[in-house]
Amino acid sequence: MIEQRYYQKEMETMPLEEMKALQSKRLVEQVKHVYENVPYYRKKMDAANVKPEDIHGVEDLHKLPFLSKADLRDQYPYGLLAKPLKDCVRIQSTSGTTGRRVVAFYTQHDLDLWEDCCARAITAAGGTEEDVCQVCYGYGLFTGGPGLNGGSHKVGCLTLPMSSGNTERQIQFMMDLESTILCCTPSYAAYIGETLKEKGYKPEDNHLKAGIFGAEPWTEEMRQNIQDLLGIKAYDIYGLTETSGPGVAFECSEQTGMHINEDHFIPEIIDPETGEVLPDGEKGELVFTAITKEAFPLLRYRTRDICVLSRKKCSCGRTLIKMTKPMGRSDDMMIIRGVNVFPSQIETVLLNEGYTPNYQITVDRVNNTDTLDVYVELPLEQFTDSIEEITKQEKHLVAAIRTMLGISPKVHLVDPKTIARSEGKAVRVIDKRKLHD
Amino acid sequence: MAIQQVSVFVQNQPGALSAICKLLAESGVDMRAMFIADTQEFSILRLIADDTDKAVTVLRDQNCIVAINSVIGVAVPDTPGGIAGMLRVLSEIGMNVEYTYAFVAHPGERAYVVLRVEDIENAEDILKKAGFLLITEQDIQNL
Repeated sequence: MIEQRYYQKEMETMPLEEMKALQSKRLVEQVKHVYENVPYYRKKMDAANVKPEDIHGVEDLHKLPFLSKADLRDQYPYGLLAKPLKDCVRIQSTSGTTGRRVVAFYTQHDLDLWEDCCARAITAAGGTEEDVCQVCYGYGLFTGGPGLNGGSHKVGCLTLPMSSGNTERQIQFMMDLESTILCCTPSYAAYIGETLKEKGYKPEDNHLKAGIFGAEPWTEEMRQNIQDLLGIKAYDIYGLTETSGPGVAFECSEQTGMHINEDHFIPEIIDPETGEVLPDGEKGELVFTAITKEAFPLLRYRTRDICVLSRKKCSCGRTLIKMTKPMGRSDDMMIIRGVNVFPSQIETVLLNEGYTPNYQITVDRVNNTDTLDVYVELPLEQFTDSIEEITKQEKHLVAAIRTMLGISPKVHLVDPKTIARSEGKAVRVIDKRKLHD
Repeated sequence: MAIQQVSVFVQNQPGALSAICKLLAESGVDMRAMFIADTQEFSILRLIADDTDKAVTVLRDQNCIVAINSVIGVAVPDTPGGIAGMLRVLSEIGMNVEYTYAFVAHPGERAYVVLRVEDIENAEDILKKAGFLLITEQDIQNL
C-alpha cells in the first residue's frame, strides 16, 4: 500500500459536516461580496427576489439565480468583475473562440488558490519536490500552462515550462532532463507516445511515472492507450476558465472520477431543462459556485457539462466529492483539439464570406488527433472555369474559419442544395469521436 | 468565332459524374467532347455540347454549378504532328495555353482541338494567319 499524500490534507480529507459548515460560511460571505460589487448580479438577485440575508448556508444555494456563458459574453469584459482593477494582477481567456470570448480576472490571492488546486492534482498523481514536471499545455491566455506551471512550483517540482508543440524538443527535454510527470492534453500525450514508439523507444526508456491530462474529452480506452504507450498512470483533471482553470477537480490513484475542490467550488447537478437541483448520483448539468474567488467570483455558473456526482468513500482517503468525466454537453459546444467550438461560429464565417448558412460539420479523431471537416455549398456566382480560383476560395475559407476558431478545418465545397435544409433542427454536426456512452 | 464550352463543378464522390451525364442524356444533349480536370477535392467537367443553352438549363435546373465560357476550336490534320504544328504557332509568339483537349472529328482527315487562352481574339488572328481553320458553333452542331 502506497502512502497517500495530500497537498492540503485538512481540506482534502475534511469530514462532510465540517466541509458543509466551511462552504456555508464562505458562501454567505461570497454572496455578500458579489451583491455589493457586481451590479449585474445584484440586478439578477433583485429580480429573483433574493437578498444576501436570505442566504444562510449551502442549503439556500438553490435560491440564487444562475449565470450562463451568455451572461459572461454580454458582460465582457468588466461586467462581472468584483474587485477594482488595481487589485487584479492577471487575466486568462478562453481558447480561441473569438465569438464567445470569456475573460477571467485574478487577484494575487485568486492565483494562489488556483495554483493550490493544481498542486493538489499534481500531488494526487504522486508528485513531490523530487519530481521533474514537464508542462506542455499552451502558455499564455489559455489556463492550462499557467495553472499547472503554478501548481508544479507549489509542489516544488522542477518545472519545465515547455508550452505546446515542437514534439522533437519535448522529447529531447523529456529524455535529457528525465521528466517524471507530464502535463498536457490527452491527445498530445498520445501523440508524444506514438512519436517515442516510432523513434524506437520502449515505454520503460522514459522516466515518466504519471501524466495529468485534461482540457478535452477523452475515454477510458484512450487512458489505457496512453498508459501503455508511455508506461505511466494517466490522471484526468477538470476545470474551465470561468472558474479559474484546470484544478477545479482532479483524479486520485483510484482513477474513478475526479475529486472536486469543494472548499473552493460548490458543485450542483441540475436538470438542464428545468434548472431543478438533482440529488447526488443523478445525471445532469454541472453547476459551480466559486466561494473563495475574489476578482471573478461566479455564483451558480452553468458549465453545460453533463456528469454525475458521487459521495462514495474513496480509497485515497479524500472526502472531496467526485464527479465523473463529462458525459456530454447540454448545449451544442464541441471541444476540438482542446478548443471550444460552437457551430454558430462557423455559420457566422460562412455568412460573412458570402456562402449560404447551409453547412455540415464532421468531427472525428484520427490517430488521437481531432479532425474538423466542414462541408459548404459552393455558391453559383463564385464558380468560374478555373481550378485555381476554387482552390483559392477554399483556402480563403479555411483561413477565415481558422481565424474565428483558432483551429484549421478541412473545407469541402459541395453542390448547392445537397446539404439538408433546416427543417426544425437540422443535423449540422456529426461527431464520430464516440467520447461518451 | 469562339465556341461555347460548358464547365460543371463536380464533387469528388462516386456517382457525381454519372449523375451529370445522365441528366444530359435524358434531355437529349449530345456531348461532342469532354475533359475533366481533377483535384483531390473536386473536379471540373468541361464539355462541348451540340446544344449549349439546353445543356446549361438542364444542369442548372438540377442545382448543378455551371458556367459558360468561350474557347477556341481549331481544326488540325489527323496526322502525327497535327497538334504540334498548331501549338508551335502559339508558342512562337509566347502565348500561354491554359488547357487544351482534342477529339477526332473526321478520322484520317481532321481533328478538332479546343484551346483555352487568355486572349482569344489575338490567338484566333494568329492561327488564321498561319492558315488554320477555326471551327464555329455551326461546325459543332453539324458533327
